Amino acid sequence: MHFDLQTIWAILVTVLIAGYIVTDGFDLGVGILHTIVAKTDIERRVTINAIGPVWDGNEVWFITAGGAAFAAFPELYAALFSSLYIALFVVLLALIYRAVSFEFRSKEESEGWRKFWDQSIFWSSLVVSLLIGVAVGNILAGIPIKNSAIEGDMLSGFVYTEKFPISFLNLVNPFTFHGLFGLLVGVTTVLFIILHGVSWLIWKTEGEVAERARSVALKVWPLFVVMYVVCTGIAYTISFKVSNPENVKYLNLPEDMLKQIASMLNNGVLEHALFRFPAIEFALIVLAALSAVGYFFAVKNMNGAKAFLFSTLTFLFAGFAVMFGAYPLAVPSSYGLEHSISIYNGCSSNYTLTVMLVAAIIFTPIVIAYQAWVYKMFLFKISAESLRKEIEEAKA
Amino acid sequence: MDFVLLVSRLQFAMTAFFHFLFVPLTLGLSTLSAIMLTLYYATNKEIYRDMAKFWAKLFAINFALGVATGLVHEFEFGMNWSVYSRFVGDIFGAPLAVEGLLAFFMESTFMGVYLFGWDKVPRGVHLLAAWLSSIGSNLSALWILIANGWMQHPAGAKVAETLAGKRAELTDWWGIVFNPVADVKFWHTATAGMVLSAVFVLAISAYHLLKKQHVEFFKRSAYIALVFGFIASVGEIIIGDIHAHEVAKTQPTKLAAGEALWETKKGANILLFAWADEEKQENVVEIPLPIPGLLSFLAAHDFNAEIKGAKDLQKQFEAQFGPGDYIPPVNFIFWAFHLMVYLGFYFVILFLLGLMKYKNLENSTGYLKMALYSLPLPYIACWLGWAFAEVGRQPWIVYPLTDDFGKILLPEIGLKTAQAVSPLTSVEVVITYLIFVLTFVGLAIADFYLLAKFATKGPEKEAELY
Repeated sequence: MHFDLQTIWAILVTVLIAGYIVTDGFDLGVGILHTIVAKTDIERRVTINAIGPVWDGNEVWFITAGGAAFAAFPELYAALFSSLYIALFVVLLALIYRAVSFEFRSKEESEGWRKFWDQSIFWSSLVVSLLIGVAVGNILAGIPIKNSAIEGDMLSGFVYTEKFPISFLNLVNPFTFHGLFGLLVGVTTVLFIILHGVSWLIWKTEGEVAERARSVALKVWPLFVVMYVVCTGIAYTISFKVSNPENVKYLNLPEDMLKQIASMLNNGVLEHALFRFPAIEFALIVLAALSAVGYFFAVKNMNGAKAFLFSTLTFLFAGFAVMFGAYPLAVPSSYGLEHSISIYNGCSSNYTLTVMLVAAIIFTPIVIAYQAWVYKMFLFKISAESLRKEIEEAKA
Repeated sequence: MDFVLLVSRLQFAMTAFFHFLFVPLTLGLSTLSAIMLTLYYATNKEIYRDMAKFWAKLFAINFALGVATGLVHEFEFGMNWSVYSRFVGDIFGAPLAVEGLLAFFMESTFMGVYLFGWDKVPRGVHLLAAWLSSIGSNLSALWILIANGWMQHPAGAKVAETLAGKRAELTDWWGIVFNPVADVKFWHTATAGMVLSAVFVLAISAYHLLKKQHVEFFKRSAYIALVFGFIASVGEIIIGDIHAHEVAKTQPTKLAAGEALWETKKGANILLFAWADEEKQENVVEIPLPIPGLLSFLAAHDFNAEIKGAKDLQKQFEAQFGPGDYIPPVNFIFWAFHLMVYLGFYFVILFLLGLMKYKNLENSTGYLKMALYSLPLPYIACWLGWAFAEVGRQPWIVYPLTDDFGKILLPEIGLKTAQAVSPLTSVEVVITYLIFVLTFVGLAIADFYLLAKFATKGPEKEAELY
């Protein structure tokens, strides 16, 4: 690893994505749990109001991660967003419905209206969680992009070449390796998001809702562990090939990294491509697993704050394992390593990276500080009882 | 036109229009509501508390869709315009990222505190949150318009080659931040948001005053809207003029189309009304404003200055950039621009009349009706303004950099919209386009239904809960 601008930005973008999963992740989880752990109307208002003042701010992590990827790695932003076109479209659609569902649901008395938006909250939260995982799985397995500059086209950049009418179906096709892996990572992500959501509900609410959330977590937890192990096992088998060694220079890697990768090649194949540094990689994965164990006991003891801390740690270790495994690649190409987007050929100029780094160093801590402060202000427990009281008092 | 390109353009325009159905109200109403909250904490009068609450509730209903459509907008650059995104990412991405980090976080986080913090957080914190949220939303507009301003006038940049191709690269960060086109764009848009929000508050107040209900409450609301709106609408005219002057300097084709000026002229006139035969490149009808040379004066601050006409510009651009159509659709651009300006003057009159009639506002039935029916007008004015700005830039997605006299300095940074689109299939773009249209229309209807419901219900004692 080099501590150059590109690496720092790879870490920063990972931090922003992690910020999204850690913050919006729990309210996505609460969204999935919404119809499962809350039965009556007032209980459903408990789950929504548990995330009420914060979900909106949480979603900004997604927007900022998108913006940072655009600014720091424009080739990645352009290639990935156009390649995963339909998948992203579905995610956006789901996020739209989710946002307005929270806003609209309790503004009408009619039962049909409220049931409609309840379902909308469940499905939209589920779809977002699933597709984020599907995208990560597909990317790690390599997607069919080509660097047009290799063929002399200096304008098009990295282009998705599989011309399916609807490329999305390809992402979730269980009969291909990447599709199957994508689905498995997707399911694992959903399970994680549910666990993370439970920790928030235990932290922020009391009574029936929190109790039910706990029993859901105790059932989901073993499934998550099994799926995480399965995904790790499959990820271990992933290899990248090099089709034309001469073109590897297009990755624009620093000299020593290039040599290192060349020395690891076996007949033009980079085996265990995501585990080139197995000690560090496995250390991160073991830490993620240990955090998951800590989570289990915290939930068992109804300690919401601790559970939240451990689910956060689980994701941070797992997320950085993914980033570190792929490093210095950002989007591996299934056509060969030389067509991949690396953090060195996909990045902005050093000047832009420097300017943005200054902005990030100043503002990221400020954002984290005031978000933490706002969280602290809203950390009082709510329950069906307390909401009923609040509604009565306001009318009086 | 290529089908994928056409649908991608329609989709982007549609997203922009829906997004801008919600954004200007966010910009202005957050400020108005914060003013009311300040009055409450300063005077301790219950009525201001109810006012802040009432308008903040409408604000919140409107805000959710603004965020949702904004998210789509940011991601559509990469999804539908990948070649554009990779070509400009080194520059264009930065203000978007800063917008998230510096402004949008602030806006959303503190809005949560404002909307849900009644009686739960200390007064000082609550008031601070209301203002931070309002400042955040306007800062957010600033960064977005810095990004948009750069597409209009790509200052602070050069073209370079990397291992992934040719692209624009940043040479001067402060050059894009203090891009004169971007900065006037911001003031123009921020004041437009204020005018729109003032009309919004005025129209809803008029509705209740016409029904003679909550008279005290809505008379006060109307007063705040009238004062705020009058200042904003006068400011809008002044800034609009400065903005038009920037366009005249940097985008000669947009100016020529916006004024339906075909021939190069010294002492050119402003047209009040025109209809062009775009095939023949001449005006069928034109009614000039009876001040000769005004266009030259407004554009170059000299009644006798030469303004380039569309025909000469077409020749000049063809010689430099090869065959193509370099003049945006004249009738469309002319009318988008002119109707927007006329509406701008109308708002000044609307607010001025209201201030004159204020003492007896609840009985001025005619005026109240006028105010009520004016509600759609500022929305239309905003849309027209964006249509003028964006369609007027065509065929360019990044307009080639010019100096202050319309001379092109950096031709290679110009990127045509037709070059910028993603390699997508027709099926993909059609599916997403249709579903987005249906979704946005459906949600906008639900949103307006709720807005109308809560707006007509008037102030109520209710817990601030989802």
